[in-house]
Amino acid sequence: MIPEQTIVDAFDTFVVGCEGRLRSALTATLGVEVGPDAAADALAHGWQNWDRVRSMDNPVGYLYKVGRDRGRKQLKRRDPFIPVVPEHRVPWIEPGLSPALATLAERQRTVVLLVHGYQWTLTEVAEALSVSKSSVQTHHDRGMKKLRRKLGVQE
Amino acid sequence: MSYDLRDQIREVTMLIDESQTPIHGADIRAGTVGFHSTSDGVSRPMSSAMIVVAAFAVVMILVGGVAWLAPFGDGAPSTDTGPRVTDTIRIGHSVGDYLGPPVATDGAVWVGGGTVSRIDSSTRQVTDTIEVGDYSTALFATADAVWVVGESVSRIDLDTREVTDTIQTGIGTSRAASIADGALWVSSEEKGLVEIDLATRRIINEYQVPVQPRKTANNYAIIEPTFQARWSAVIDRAIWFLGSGLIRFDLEQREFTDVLGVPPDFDMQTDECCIAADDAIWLVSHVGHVWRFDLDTFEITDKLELPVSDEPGFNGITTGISAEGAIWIPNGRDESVYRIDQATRQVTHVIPVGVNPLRSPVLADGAIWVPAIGDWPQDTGTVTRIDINTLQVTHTFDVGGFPLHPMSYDGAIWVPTLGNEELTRIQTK
Repeated sequence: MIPEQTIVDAFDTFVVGCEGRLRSALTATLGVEVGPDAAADALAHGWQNWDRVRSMDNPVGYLYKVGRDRGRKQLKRRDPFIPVVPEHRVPWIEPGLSPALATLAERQRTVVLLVHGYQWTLTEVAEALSVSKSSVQTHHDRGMKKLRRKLGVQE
Repeated sequence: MSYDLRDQIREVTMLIDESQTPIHGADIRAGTVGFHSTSDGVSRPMSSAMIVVAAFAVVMILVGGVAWLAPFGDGAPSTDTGPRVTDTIRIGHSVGDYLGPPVATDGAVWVGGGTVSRIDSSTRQVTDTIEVGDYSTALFATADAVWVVGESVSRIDLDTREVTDTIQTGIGTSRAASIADGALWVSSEEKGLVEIDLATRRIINEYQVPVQPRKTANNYAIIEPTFQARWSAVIDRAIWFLGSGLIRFDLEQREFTDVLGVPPDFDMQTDECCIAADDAIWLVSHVGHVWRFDLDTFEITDKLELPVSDEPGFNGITTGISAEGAIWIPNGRDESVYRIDQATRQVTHVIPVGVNPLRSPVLADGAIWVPAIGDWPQDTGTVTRIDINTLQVTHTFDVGGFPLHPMSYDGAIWVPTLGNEELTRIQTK
């Protein structure tokens, strides 16, 4: 039998390694109100099912789905909250960016925020979302195209 | 207007980061963050992240509905004859992004999405909008109900038009579901294959996919036997799924009989990448590979290469249909539909259609009807009619938005359009 402290240490190490990625991904998907709590819910699920989760090839991808499913119930039929950048943060502010991000399809918003906001590679995004890199590319292209159109931004 | 959009997105996420605090394993284990219970309504403490987020609420924008309100047509029936757009019906809720086709039963068309709407086929009016609690990803119609697959499964009674049952099918419930033998078969990462009896409206069995593959088509290996099903179809007393490979569930034996590897260059992550035919399953990769998987030998018998573009965007292949002895596959690269003869297994015709055909066509009244999204998100979606006998395009209809899967019912094609959230009715004759 594995000593309890070893299990605890392994879980804590796992949380240190993946918590930031999981929280970023779920925030990109669900917004700043629901995303962090969904990440906490997913990690709690991971602890409750640690024997199974720790043996998975892609535990972050699994927990992302757990958090996403739970978070969607909280979102229901409203769009996720994306904070507006205060005017002093950048020389010129696009006030429509946050609302535009909120209206993207869920996967498009997730991919756009992870790639350009959090600087993830396509491979990292694909692994976290459990989709292929080509799917990530497609969601990215559609999301950016939609953003540019809504904001009237040229390539 | 010109600025670096990526820089501004980066600014948004930096702001998000500043509002959040890391979650620690000890807090999770102690139960001070994360759920305590989600089933009995026990409240949970507000996390520090939530407190900071609440402060941000004063500067956040509560985003309302999508401003895709450019009207298309006036909804008045046309007096023309022949195939034509007769109605454009405002649904009033999101029709979803990954949604399958509408369904029809008992004189009405049902469209899912954020809620489920009933459209009377005669009056062409939305008669009911029904909350189901989930985003629906697939609908199924039976004689007395509409079944809605989302994160769970809901049953809407046709008489009362109310949700009578909500059945929990587990985390990772997929749109890959089928009706057979008086049951709705739903795939779920958590519970495996769930059998819901349509009469008693209860889960009567759960089947776990075998851990080890029993066969491998052409010696293609299963990398990770999981049941993240993306597609399913009932063929010859079996339900086939696409998960980490092709998975066969035998309806007579009531068990999984085969888990078969697929070619490693088959992009099985795409939701729609299989076409069910009588004697084969056609695997369609968005990068142009098309394989024929023979249902007698369980082997890949043919591989075709369709041209695709290297450019990112809409220029790939999504899926197609089996109809009239052929496989019909829309190709965004050259904005055409490829007809593959099922007997010779060769491309016989390449038929130009609208710009960016991304969803499955439908067969109805002697024609193949092909949706295309146009230069999305501009409002330029179309549906093209291909005569099945002449293999010529006879009509192209402007439907606007992002046309999703069309459906044939009551002498018409019904096409939901994402973005303008409408249902377009095209008279077929």
